[in-house]
Amino acid sequence: MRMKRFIEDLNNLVGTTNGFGNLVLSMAERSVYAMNNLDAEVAKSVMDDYAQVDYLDGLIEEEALRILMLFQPMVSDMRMVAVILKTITYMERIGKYCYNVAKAVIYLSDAGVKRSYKNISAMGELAVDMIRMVTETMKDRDITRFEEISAKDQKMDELRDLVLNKSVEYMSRDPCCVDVCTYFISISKFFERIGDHACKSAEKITYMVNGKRVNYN
Amino acid sequence: MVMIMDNVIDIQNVNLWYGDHQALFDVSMPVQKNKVTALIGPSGCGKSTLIRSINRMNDLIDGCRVEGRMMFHGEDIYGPGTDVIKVRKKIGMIFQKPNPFPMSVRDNITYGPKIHGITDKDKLEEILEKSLREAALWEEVKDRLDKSAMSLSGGQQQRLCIARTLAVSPEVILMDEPTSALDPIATSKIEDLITELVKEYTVVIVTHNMQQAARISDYTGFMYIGEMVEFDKTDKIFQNPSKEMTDRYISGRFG
Ligand SMILES: Nc1ncnc2c1ncn2[C@@H]1O[C@H](COP(=O)(O)OP(=O)(O)O)[C@@H](O)[C@H]1O
Ligand SMILES: [Mg+2]
Repeated sequence: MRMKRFIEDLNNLVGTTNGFGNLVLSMAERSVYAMNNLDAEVAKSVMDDYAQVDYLDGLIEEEALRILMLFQPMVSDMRMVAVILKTITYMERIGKYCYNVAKAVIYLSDAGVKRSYKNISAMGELAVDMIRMVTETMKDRDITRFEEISAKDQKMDELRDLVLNKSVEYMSRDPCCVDVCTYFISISKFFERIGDHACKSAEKITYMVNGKRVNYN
Repeated sequence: MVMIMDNVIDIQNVNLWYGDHQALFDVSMPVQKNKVTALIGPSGCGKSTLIRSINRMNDLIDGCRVEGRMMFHGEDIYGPGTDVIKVRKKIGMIFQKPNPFPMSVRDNITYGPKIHGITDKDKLEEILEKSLREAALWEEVKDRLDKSAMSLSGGQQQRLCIARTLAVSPEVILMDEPTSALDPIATSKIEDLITELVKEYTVVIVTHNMQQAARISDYTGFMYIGEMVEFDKTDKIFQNPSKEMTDRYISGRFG
């Protein structure tokens, strides 16, 4: 029989992981808001939250390993613990990219930049969408949601190329904006990476739900 | 599932009754050569019954009746011309509780070969050493071959029983919960031994320890109330079984 303690510990692990997902999602939403509005204060709140991301990553890992040691979960339980271990790593990275976006926003705002690019905003929106797909599916296991994730990731790549090309164009026209453009290029790169990590998380969560290996990249 | 190749044993639609009580329902399962096949399932689901029926140990039980086909190299073990003694020589059995004969280590091993007509002393000595080495017991008992087998530890006794089975050159070794009476270290030794043995032999093992089945077997059959619910590669059974019930049993949600 499954021990009561095992069921409780597993539920707690899932709960903490979902909390972790919520935190990262909220950081993404705020970093996008901060970027769209060049709001240094909101950006600062994202940077502050990274410490909690780091903490939860370590905490969940420790707890998952403890569960493996104590209960040696099998079949779907094993897939769940293994996928949580993988997903938190992707989530931690996403949290770090949100932190990096926020840091760049603070720089841009200090430099007196007043507005962002439309394409970068679109990338931010996509990033938030993709993270939300992951966190929601972690909760309700409805992997049909992932049907669209590859398309979103592809869109993300296209937008990054657009941002890059446009920025290069601006920079060659006006060398004074090299600084600012470089930051925008970085931000687009961060969002693109967030998309990649969200895709990898989605692959793992699919494995958790149905045991099948899929490729969303 | 592609597993038509090289089946030493092929269990085909076997039904088994103890008197009026039906214990196996239309069970089918292949046993591949040089592989470990594990049987899992809750107590009373028929694992021992099935494994015992493979070498006709059930013949010894009054009122036991078998239908269906139990093929061993293409010949029905329950066919009219079958020599039961030969079947049990070719398909040996190890039980949960080690059951060495109350005699010396040497006599335990040479008993079977003598019964099967080997009298040459050198030949018997050769079988003795070979069997004990194959059972990873030689180093531990080579200086006490004439001591009583009862003086060995539980784990050593179990390996002695394995050596005793090996001494009559079987092809298949059936094991019914061979480690459930042993401590963890003795258990690891038996598991290592099984991994070695399948290079030469074919093993069918019943175990209650899921991790053990996952570790040592190539194929796993999950049984429930006399039926074979799912049979597949072990990795598949323990990571992503096809039947919800298999998942529920292995993860301990019932049973
Ligand atoms: N010698 C026997 N006589 C009558 N019924 C038996 C005998 N051995 C087992 N059974 C019955 O057959 C069913 C399967 O038992 P068994 O094969 O021992 O299960 P398992 O090994 O999976 O625990 C059970 O219902 C059990 O009571
Ligand atoms: Mg039994």
